[in-house]
Amino acid sequence: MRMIRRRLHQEEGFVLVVALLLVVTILLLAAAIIATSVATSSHATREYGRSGAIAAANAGLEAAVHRLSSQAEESATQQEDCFTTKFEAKEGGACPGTSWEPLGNGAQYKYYVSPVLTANECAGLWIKAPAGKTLTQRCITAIGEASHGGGTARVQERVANVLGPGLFPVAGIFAETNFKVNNELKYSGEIGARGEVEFNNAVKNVGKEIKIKYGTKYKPHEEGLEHTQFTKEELESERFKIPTQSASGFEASQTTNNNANITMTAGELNSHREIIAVNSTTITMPSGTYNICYLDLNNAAKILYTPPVTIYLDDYHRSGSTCTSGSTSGTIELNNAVEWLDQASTKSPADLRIYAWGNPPETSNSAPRIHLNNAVSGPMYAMIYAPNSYFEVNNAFSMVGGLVAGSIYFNNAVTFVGELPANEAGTGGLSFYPTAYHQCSPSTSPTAAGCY
Amino acid sequence: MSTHLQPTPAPAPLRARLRREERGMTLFEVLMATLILAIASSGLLSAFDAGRRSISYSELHSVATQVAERELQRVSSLKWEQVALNKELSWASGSSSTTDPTHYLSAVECDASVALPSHKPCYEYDWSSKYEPLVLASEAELSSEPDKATDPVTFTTSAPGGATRLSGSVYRYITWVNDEGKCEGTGNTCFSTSTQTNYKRVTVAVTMSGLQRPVVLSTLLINHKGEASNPLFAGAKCVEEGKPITEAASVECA
Repeated sequence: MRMIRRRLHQEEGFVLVVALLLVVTILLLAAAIIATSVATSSHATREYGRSGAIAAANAGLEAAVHRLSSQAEESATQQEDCFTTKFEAKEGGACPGTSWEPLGNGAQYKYYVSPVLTANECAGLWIKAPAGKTLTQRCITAIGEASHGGGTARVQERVANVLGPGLFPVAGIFAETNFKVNNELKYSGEIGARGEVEFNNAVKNVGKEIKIKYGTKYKPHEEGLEHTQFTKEELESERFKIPTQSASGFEASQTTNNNANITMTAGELNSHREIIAVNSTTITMPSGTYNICYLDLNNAAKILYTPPVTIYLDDYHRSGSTCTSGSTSGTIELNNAVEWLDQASTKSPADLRIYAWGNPPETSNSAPRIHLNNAVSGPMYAMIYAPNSYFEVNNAFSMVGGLVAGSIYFNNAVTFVGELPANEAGTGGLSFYPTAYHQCSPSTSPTAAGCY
Repeated sequence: MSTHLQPTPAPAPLRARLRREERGMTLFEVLMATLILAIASSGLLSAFDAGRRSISYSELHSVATQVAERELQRVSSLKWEQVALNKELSWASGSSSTTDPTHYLSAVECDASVALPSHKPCYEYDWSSKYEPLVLASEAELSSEPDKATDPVTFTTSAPGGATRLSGSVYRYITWVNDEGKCEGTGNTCFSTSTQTNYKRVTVAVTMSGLQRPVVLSTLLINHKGEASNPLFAGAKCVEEGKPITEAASVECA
């Protein structure tokens, strides 16, 4: 008992030491908790900043591609230039960038566009042009900066522009062989043909200047019809080399399309993707992509389309099309007061795109026919690309848009306003497409290494 | 407590004095120690609580950021025509709170100087002073279900047991952008007037209960001209791999 009492006496005063040790431990724990929560909080803030910065940098890429692709040309001099909102020479060996542009949520972006690449110094792999074509590549580096926590992101994209024509070499009518007109064509826009352009009786331009392709054998019936011709340089440019019809759109739309959304007051789209000999029907086409093999409408039929509508006019001549073989495959027959009614409040030729497969490489009037007969109008706002079809119109047709066909014949009272949306060729122009994308190490310097 | 301490015995009178003096000190010590511990513990509890709240808020912030980022990526992957809002829905201003994304909607003429396709409804995309008209499309034109649904779309996250852990709302606003003055160059095909559109602005705002301000992410989307007729699809190849460029993935020579 004495022993225990003595030991207890020896430990008097130790409670305070233990308490202080506990306090220190508790304070350390508290500090750890605070440090952890601060770290977590700043991580969340950084994550927000990083996301905002990347989205802003991506916005910079998009703005750069849009502005670059809106340029009319890329001459040899311009190919050596950088680009901001226009072509600009290098400054001190480096490309100038744009100034910061706000994005709306507090984030901002700027970008740098390289001259046409001569070495593989950008994100991704070097691109080889399609056979018979040439292309140019540029490198775009965009920097995004978020307001929240000041996150910065740098991204890089390789873009390529295939030199050559769009689908529509002129803002108007282009025939692969001949374009013949009889009686009362009211026309504005551009005309081109590889063969002969023949105007008979009462051809008038209705506003815009008529421009005829250089080298076209032009037989105007009336002297004094105002027109100019494309120059030889223009003729020899890539612009007039009509590209071969690509099968990809036909193949894709054959299996994935919106055909089921078509409604008709009479007739039907049968299992062979044909609408045959329907009178006075009203066809409604919501926005979408359609693939049909034959369209035959008569007598006051109406086609109501809500843009954008794309129609692939398929043909049994295309391997795998499953269209029924025969003379009606790949053709359109519209007779007597058939109307194309664009449901958009502001109408545009881009509202309706018709791609016809036809019978490649046939371009004469024996190719599958698109035949519009007697008062087919609306007017039809459309872009029709049918380089291997025969396009024939009789009596009172009106259209606003662009037309490419194998051969073309207009007879009586045709009104055609040649017009294409911006960036849809016609005037040539650039069209850059992204081919590779990398996120780079964050930096505000466009030349910082490590992005390719 | 240590039992190994063996202090050198003090002389008898000193030992007696120490014993006498240390009696009562022990009680005082215990009281003081208890007081110190209580103060320290309350500080610790406060730190715990503040830390817990901070971590919870960070979790909300992280989840909101991830949801916004995911939504932005989803919209960016849509076809150009489908990057739009359902015009059958009401796009009128829904709140007087300046931290509510619907506060910045306007069903009336938004800005007479911006003569884009439609003045209304429009959206004050910078939450301050700049308006742009909404990009609207019919339900039939919109392909995916979230785009047809009522705005906002709600979301939840699950706890391990399957119970709802966090929930919130995703607001998505798509507006027309006019690039006037930013696109120069001789003979360019940029739209030259303020009456036309160039590209779309996508703004995603995510709100969650407990989040002081919404998480807002924005980006721009352009119409990559003639997507299906991209000339690169007609035989362009990535050199090192010889892989043709196809419509399936437009950015693939990476």
